[in-house]
Order: sequence, then structure tokens, then C-alpha cells
Amino acid sequence: MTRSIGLSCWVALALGCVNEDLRFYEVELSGTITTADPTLDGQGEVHLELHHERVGLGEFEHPFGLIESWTLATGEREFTGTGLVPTDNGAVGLVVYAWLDLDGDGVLCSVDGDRSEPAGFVVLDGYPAHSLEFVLTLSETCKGPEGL
Amino acid sequence: MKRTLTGLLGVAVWLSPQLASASEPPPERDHSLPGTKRTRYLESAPFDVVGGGSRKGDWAVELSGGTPWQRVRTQLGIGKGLTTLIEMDTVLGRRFRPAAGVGLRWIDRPHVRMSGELLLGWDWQLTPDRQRRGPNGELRMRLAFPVGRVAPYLVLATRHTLLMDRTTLETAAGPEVSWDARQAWIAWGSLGLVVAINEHVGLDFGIDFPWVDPPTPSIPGLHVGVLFGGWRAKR
Amino acid sequence: MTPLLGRRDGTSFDGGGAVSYTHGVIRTVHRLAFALALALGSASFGCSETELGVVVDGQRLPVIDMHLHPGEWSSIPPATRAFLTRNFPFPFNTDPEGVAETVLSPEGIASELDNAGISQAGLFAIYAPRSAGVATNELIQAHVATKPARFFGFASLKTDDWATREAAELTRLEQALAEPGMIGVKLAHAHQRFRMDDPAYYSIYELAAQLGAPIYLHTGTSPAPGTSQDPAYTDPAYLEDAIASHPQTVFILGHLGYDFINKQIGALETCISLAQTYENVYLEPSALGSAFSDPEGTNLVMAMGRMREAGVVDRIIYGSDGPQSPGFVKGYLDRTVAAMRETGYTIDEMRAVLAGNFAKVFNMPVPTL
Repeated sequence: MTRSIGLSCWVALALGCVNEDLRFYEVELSGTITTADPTLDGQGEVHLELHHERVGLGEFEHPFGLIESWTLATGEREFTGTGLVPTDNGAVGLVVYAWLDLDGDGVLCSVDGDRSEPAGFVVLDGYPAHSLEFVLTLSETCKGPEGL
Repeated sequence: MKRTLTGLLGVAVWLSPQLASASEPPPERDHSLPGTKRTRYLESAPFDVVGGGSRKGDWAVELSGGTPWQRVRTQLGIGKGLTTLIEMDTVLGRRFRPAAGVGLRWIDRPHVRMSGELLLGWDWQLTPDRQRRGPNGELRMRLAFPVGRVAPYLVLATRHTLLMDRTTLETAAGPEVSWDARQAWIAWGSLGLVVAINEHVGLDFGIDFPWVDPPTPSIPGLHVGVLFGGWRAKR
Repeated sequence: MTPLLGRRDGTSFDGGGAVSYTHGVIRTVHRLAFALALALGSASFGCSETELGVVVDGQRLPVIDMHLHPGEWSSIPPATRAFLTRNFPFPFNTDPEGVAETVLSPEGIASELDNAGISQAGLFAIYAPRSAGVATNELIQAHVATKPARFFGFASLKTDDWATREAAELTRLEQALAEPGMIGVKLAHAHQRFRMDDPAYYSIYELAAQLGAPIYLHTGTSPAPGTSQDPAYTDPAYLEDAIASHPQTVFILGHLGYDFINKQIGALETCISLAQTYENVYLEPSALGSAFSDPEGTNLVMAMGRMREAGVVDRIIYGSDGPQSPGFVKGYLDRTVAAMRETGYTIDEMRAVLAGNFAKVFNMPVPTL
């Protein structure tokens, strides 16, 4: 079925029938998350996000563009995952941002929750490459990616 | 809505042979005969366009403009109740759909004419913020009630476009390409009136009801057209 | 019999001449048709000369709409353009740029104001490249200059790369606010993606206080692509620290914290509580009552009723979040007036909401009719 669709679409492609033409670059990520405050070791869930370092052209250029996000199990600090990085949007670079959810409410420094949750980010050197490693230290309190 | 319309058209296709068999189409008409006051224009080119179907050798052309569609359509009867169709419609010069197909006259009574049409074509829109391209199929029903020089008519149609999407994934082992297919559906209808000026030329006034890319709302439109055509001499 | 079209002698006929017209002609006709639709769609019954104000119980009340968005289609990011195009009705979604140019132009906005009977309006700048797009301070200044008696401008600034650009952006903001007709600041944390409780951005509020420029802030979620829906970017509760620590800054909480994703009241009570607690907080009920965002027609009524119940009518400043589409500005005014009627607003309270509170906050005269 897939082959017959592929064959017919090679024909159709020649006639220009591709509508959405999406391109992704696969990246295998592995890394370690630490906290500047050693007393937080083993506590809370780490919420981790993969971002473009910069996205857009001209007046639309801006830092950070979320690609994918993960949540590690409580206390877990080692991460492995696969990100599919869009490559047709003028973006450059990759950044990993993360924060530690100490009160488990899913919100960084929620107004009624723990207002000491740390966050941090690291630029992934070596991109583009299909395998990237990182070490990320969470040292800034209550900061979204734009605030770092 | 889509299922209802397609179902209705399917029922019409199933029923039409039974309805048509109750009244076999009259033999090829000798256009040199004047006919009666009420039937003189029954086989006129304008009524052939709106009711669908042409007798063997008869041809007709529709040129219409308005909003949202502008349309050119030609038809030629090839006998046995079949009519070949070639048409092109555009939405404000931004979306285009050329197509070819066949029509079959199902009901052919003096003042009731119903026909079905099946067309295959290509649908494309290449505007910066919305693009689409792909093969397109349309099932259409025409119903007209010619009396004297005028023929109120109804057209119902369901149109489906196949849109192919490609995803390319650059992996460590090399690129992987996958395809997905989706469908864009349009339904439309027209209510109108054709006035035959003579057997060759007529005017068409209609209101169009599009149902495009739901749930996006569609604004009804209207069109004005010129219909003309001719025929071979009696053999 | 009809030699031009058919011959009974059996000879063939080549057909008539083909009708051809250029894309440009069609597009011009389409835009004229849309402009006509704009006029007709916005016209009140009677189609008489523009008469300003809205009539309530025989009295004509002046109206200021503090929240309108001019702009250029090309300054909206591609994902948002695609989102908007999907929501334009057919066939206008085949030419969204043409539609937008008509609606978002100063002439288009003025036409909307005329048809709604609105005397004056605020035009918003925005720097949200990820989501809503960019309408520069310079664009707003140019629009205001076309009709200085009717248009006011709200300046904005880029909040990206704040660690390196803060000083430069604050300087630009100050320069923009020095221009004629620029009376306030527009911020949208969800669209611009910076936390409401991040002290790094408090310098904006300090500058606004120094310049006497009230700040309008988008509160609540937004369906625009690229918008942050995180509570710290949308929930006005996260603004309380900023509000409390900047008593000289006027904060206008736009949209009353409405949840536009789920079309629910959202953080209305938080907004009301902030207005009750802090004298420098005002409330603006734009967009939440539109047919798109409030299909049942109940949320705007509930919001207006709650605010009156809570005793904060003197804090409500009317805005629509237009122009959006032909007739939207008038339609939103009608829905708001209807909501006020239904919830028992007196004539004086309506007068305050529709123009008086704006005049008080921005130290301007109420428009005369």
C-alpha cells in the first residue's frame, strides 16, 4: 500500500502534488541535569524542553522556539530522548531548557506554589549532528527561557 | 453534511434508471421542426447546459462570472444519452479547477430534466498563505424544469480533492521519506433561472451556495452567464 | 436562422470568442466587492450620515474604543497568517492579504468607527514575532497622524533578548511616547512570551509611571499560534507583585483574563479582586463577548454583571479588540451595551464605561457629540 502510494506520488510529484512538505532532522539527545543547590538532588520532576536557538527571519526573528518537551520521573536526572528538529523554518542552533518542579503542580513557580523552583538552559554545541550530549545546571529561580 | 449530500446523490444514481425507464428519451430531434410554443426550446443549447446532457452532435458552452466562481464549460453529446464535458472554474483568479468528464441524462420528460455528471480534474491554489494541489473528482446532479423560454434549475455537487503531504526525516542512516494523504471536500449548489433568447443563446442568473473547507464559513454568491451552442444538421 | 452560432447545413462551428480576464482585474473587482461588503456590513439601518454616540433610553452617549489593531498582513508571522486565513470565510480566504489590507488600514478602521458611532479609538503597537506579529510604533504614529482627532496610539517594545537590549528598548519606548497622540503602552506577555512576575521587566512599569503612560496588558489565553498558554504568562494573578510594587503605574487588564481557548470566563474573579484591592488597576472587556469567543452570548453578560456587583464599574474601560472583520466594531459595541442593559447598568454607569473612565485615566476630555 505504502509502495503503491509512493509510486503514484512520484508521478504526482512530477506534476507538483506535494502540499505540506515537512523536513526534520533527527537528534538523539543524552544529558545530565544538575541543580546548583545540592539539597535539591533527588527531588521533584525535571521538565525539559528542546528549543531552536533562534528562529525566523527579519522582523520575525526571535530567540527560542519550542520543538519538543519531556518530563523526567521524580528524582531522575539522566535524560535520553529523540528530537525531530524542523529544518524548513529558518531556525538555527539548539538549546535545552529545563526547570525543576518541586511542588509537582506542572507550573514553574506558580503563584500559589513553590516560588523557589530553579531553571536553566544550555546551548547544544555541535549541532547539526545526529547525536548530542549536554550537562545542564539549574541555577536561576523562576525564570522562563526568555528570562535566562 | 458531506455524507448526507453524497448519500442523496448516490440514491439519485440508484433511482435514476428506474425513473428514466418509465419514460424513454425521445429519439434524436430534428431541429428543423419548430415544435410547440411550450416545447420549442426544450432541446435548446441553454436548456442543455442547465439540465445537463446533449443529444448526439449537439454542443453547448457556458460562460459565467460572478462571485465566488467564474466558469467556462463546454459539452458535446456523443450519443446513447452520454455527453462529454470539459470545464474550468476559478475562484477570483486564485483557485483553479480544470476538469473533464461525462454526463448522463437520467430523466428526460418534456418539463423535467435531470442528469448526473462525473468529472475528474485538478485542483490548485498557489497563493502565498494557502496552497493546495491535487487530483480532484466531482459528482454533480442537475435538475431543470423548462417551460417555454425559461427553466428554473438546481445543481448539487460534491467535490473531493486528494492532497498529498511529504515528510522527510534526516536520520543518521540517511533520509527517510513518508507520504500521507488527506482529502479536501467542497460541496456546492446553485439555484437559478435560464432564459432562452433563442434556441442557440440564453442567459443564466443564479445564486451559488458554496460549502468550502468546513467548518470555515462560506458566503453565498451569485453568477450571471451566457449560454450558447449549436447542433449538427438532421442526418 | 442564427448564422453566428450554428448552421443547419452541417458545417461545423468554431464557437464564440473566449472570455478572458486578468488576475489583476479579478482581484480589483474582488477588493471593490469587499470594500462594498465592508460598507454594507457596517452600515446601520437607515444609512444616514454618521452620527456619533450610542443611544440608550433616548440619550446619546459618547464612545471611545480603546483597543483596535491596525497592521500589515506581511508583518504577521506565517503560522498566524495561515491560522487567520483558515478562519476567513470563503471566498475571502483566497485573498486574505487583500481582505486584511482593507480592514486594517486607517480608512478601514475609521469606517468601522463611523458605522459604530464611535468618536475616538486607541491603536495598538505590538512586537510579537512568534505569534500576533509586528505593528511598529512608527506605523501607529503614522496612523494616528492621519486622523489625530480620532486616533490615539499605544506604543510597545521588543522584550526578546532583554538581558542585552533592555536599555535600548526602554529608550525607544520613551521616544515613541513623546510623539503626538501616543498616550499609553501595550504589552502582551502571552504573545511576547515573558513572565508576568519576572522582575527583570519591571523597568517598563517604572518608565510608564515616570511618563504618566497607562499600560494595557493582554491577560488570558489566546488561540494565536506561538502564544504561551502557561499561567505565568496569562493569569493576571502573576501581575499582583508588579501592581503592588508600582502604585504610580496604571495597569489596564485587557480581556479580563478570559480563556479564549476554552471560551470560558477564566480569571475574571482575579481581575475583579485586583481592581478592588489596588487603585491603579482598570479592567477592559474586549473580545471575550464576540460571536466567535462567546457563541452562547452569556460570558460577556456574566462578566459585566459581576463587575457591577463587585462595585468596580468606575474601573471599566471599553474596548473591542477590532477591527477583525467588517461590522465587528459595531457589533461588539452593541453586545456590550446589551450586556450592560441586561445587568442593570444605569445611564451614568454606561456613560462611564463607554468613555468617561477612559477620559479620566488618560486625562482627556470626554468627546462631545
